[in-house]
Amino acid sequence: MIAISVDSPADSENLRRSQGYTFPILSDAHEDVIRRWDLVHVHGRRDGADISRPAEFLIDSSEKVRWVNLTEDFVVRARPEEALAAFDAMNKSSHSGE
Amino acid sequence: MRFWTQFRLVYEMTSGMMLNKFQIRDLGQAHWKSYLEWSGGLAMKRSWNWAVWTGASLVFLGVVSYPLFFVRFPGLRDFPWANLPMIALGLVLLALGLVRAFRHPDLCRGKIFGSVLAVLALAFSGFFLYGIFIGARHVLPASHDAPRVGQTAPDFTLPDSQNHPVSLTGALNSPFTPESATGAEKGAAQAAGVVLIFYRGYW
Repeated sequence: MIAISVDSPADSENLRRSQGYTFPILSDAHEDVIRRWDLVHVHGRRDGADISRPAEFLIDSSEKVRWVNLTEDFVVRARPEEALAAFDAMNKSSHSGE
Repeated sequence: MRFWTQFRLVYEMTSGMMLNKFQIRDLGQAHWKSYLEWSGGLAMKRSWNWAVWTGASLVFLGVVSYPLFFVRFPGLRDFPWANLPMIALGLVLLALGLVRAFRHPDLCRGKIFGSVLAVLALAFSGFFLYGIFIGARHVLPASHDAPRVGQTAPDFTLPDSQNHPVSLTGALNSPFTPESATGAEKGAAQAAGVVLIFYRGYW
């Protein structure tokens, strides 16, 4: 699992420490990747800065996208069960002759 | 009867008169009546409007507890099941308290501060409802060009929180070793995929 936001590495590291996350949090301060993936939320931050809109992707080992969750409501996020179910579905299909 | 006994004792002691029971009764009743009038006058001192205060506090608590507490539970975050009843109950109590204050201003306080609290509570709950049901929705960009299922994800390299560069390809090809894996499994395991989470940040 990898998380990405516009936060600086220092802020992300603080978040990691305070929440005890073990996965990498990447820093896309100039929104290069966010823009490439068309996820920019212009002026989404309180101070008017651009940020990423919430989005989750499951990508398989051949770099293909297998599951996307683009929430309409930034309060509602993907539940872990949804991501795990997508993951299981991906594994099943990759084992049954691909 | 204790009242009458004490009353009689005090009366006899202070006045020096010995009373028969009928005299005690009449005197007692006369005094009791004047006591009632006096305390009735005290009751004209208006009572505290608990309904207005409780209602306003409940509305405030109902709104504030959402970001402070209930967001931690996905079921209660996606839809504010816990907060809407609190706010509704608070508003009802406020209304009841206000009605009482206006109908019986001699018995109950709260016409002015109750009205002020009611306006504040309505504004607060309106702000909350707007934020949850309108503000949080439909403000997100459509992201039509975001990678879709079946497409190849564009590769990238970004610094992690310790400034080490991490690439998508690298993450997919690196061995994935959960703590629970045995020695043999460790050698063979490889990442089956990556869950990529883009988030707003700035939390």
